[in-house]
Amino acid sequence: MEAIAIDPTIRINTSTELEIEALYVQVFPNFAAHVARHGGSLNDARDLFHDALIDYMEYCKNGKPVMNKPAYIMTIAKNIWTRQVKLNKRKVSSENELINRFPLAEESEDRMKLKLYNYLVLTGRKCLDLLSSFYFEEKKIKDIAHQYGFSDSHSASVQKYKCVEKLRNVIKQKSLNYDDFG
Amino acid sequence: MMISDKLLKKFERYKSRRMGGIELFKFEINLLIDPETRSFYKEFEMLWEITEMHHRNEIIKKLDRFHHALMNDPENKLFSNQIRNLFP
Repeated sequence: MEAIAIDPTIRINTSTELEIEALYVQVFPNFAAHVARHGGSLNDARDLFHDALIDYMEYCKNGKPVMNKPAYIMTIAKNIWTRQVKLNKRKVSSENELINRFPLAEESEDRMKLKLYNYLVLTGRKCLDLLSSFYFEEKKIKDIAHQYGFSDSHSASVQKYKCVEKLRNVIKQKSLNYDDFG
Repeated sequence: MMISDKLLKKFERYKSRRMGGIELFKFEINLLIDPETRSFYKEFEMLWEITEMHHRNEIIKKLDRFHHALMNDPENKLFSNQIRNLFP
């Protein structure tokens, strides 16, 4: 495998960052070739490969062993690509159908989630970062306290609780006023 | 109304699949029969999903930066050319 000279500040900040970067260099060319053969663009290949890497990281986080990591990532990425192609075909074929004018409940909920997310990124980004560290990066409370500059673990726990309450209240308020929330 | 710390910890255990046995059974029954707990839980679930969206977006941003650096690395033109040549 080729060594890559990348700016060290651009490292992917996870415990498996070096492994992910090595897998990226190893697997992405094959996946890009697969997407190119099936008429996709470089941007398609990049975006879907990133989704596949995130799924892989999630899988590894749960402690499940992977025997052949490049093959596993390639399989996930190909599946995501196939799903995307099917979805695009369905969208094109139903573009003028009546059903498309009335969003399904699931789509409507996804849109609301996205609007809430965009709002919270602007108004409560620090809380989103903090909760993300707690819930999804699964960092230890003392590490979180250190990272966010709290004096001790207790202060970090209190701040986490405050963040939950703050974001929950926004969600409650904005969900009730969803029709006016743009 | 504020969520109690005890209830919040239950929600967190439930969402991260760390709840089991009789506690899980009792919790799910409670969700069914108690409208206040159910309402709190729905809000918490939305918060959880939005935080997860944020977490994914932050990783994607880092992967995008890495991709950009990789494709524009003067030391590894072979790699980026190999990729670019796939897409005429």
